[in-house]
Amino acid sequence: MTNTNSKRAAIVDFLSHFWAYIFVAMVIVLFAIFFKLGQQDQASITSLDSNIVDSNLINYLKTPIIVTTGHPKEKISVGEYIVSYYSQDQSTVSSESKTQFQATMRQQTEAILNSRLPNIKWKLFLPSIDSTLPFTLAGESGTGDTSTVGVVKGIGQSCVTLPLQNSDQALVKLVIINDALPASTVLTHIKGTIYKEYSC
Amino acid sequence: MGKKAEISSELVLAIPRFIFLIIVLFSVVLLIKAFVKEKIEVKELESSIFFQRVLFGKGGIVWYDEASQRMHPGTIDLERFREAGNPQTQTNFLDNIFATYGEGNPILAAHLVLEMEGKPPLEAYYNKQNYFRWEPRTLSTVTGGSASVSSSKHASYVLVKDGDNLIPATLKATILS
Repeated sequence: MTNTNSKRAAIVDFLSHFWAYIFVAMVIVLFAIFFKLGQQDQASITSLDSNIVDSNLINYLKTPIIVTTGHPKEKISVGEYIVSYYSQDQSTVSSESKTQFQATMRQQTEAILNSRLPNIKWKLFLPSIDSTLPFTLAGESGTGDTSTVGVVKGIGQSCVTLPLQNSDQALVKLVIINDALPASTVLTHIKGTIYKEYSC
Repeated sequence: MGKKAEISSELVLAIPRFIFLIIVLFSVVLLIKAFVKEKIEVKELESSIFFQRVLFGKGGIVWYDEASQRMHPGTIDLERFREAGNPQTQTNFLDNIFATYGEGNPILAAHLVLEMEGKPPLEAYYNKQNYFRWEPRTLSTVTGGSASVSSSKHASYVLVKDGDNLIPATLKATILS
């Protein structure tokens, strides 16, 4: 009699703790999943990446280009070309000059950044020309050299303020994104403040 | 039924509870172990810092303008690069002056390639002897391979100072550490 009671009591005791066991097991599983997710590498703007993008932007601005608009043809740096254009009173600049500047910048920038920076997407922001929106150029490198990791590991950005002759300033911003980053990560950053806004 | 039998049956019924307790304890230990970092991986960081040192550091391959006594970070002096890439010598100024880690340098080795517009690529080595010694060990098929030597690749847009000209180029580096 005593034995039967004792067995019953033990079974009742086990059943009463059953949900507690399930709860503890679920907590452990949730913790494991949480820690596993937390260990995933996340793309971030690191100071090391920023240094490289700073260097790339400065070199881009120092790159000599031949401007075909003047007579005779001029060999000046990209930075000087930007300064000479934006130093003009924008209300007096003809639409032909605006188109010429945009075409030259697009051609020269793509020639430099598409061929010299492996496995990246890039976006360059310049002050507005026709609208309130910044003049934006974008592209991606087509070297196909998959053995090189890329200029940045994640996403890097850099800004330079060029002093103009009319004592104003022109802000130039370069954003570089590693081509190997998963599309979802890039999208997160594009939706965020980094890629979209013309500010530093 | 004696008292002894009663106790032993209770013990038998408590076995599942003990097993569960053991599982819980093991789980806690495993979770704690997942948090504890037994080894801090700095090889990737070391190689990134070295690459930036090559790009920005004084006394290396970066162009230093004697007239203005100013260094131009990110601009490579072609003469200095050629000097560093001299195939006749086993060591160069990068090993002996720029980033010296003593004889045999067990820290880093690097292969630098300068790709200029319209010119054949130029090569230079840092810690050349160990680079050739370590390079096969980056392969997973080699015994003592990928786990023992890590390889990382870097690239940056640079300008090359060749006389009075600035030539657009790409500096690529394979760094072993």
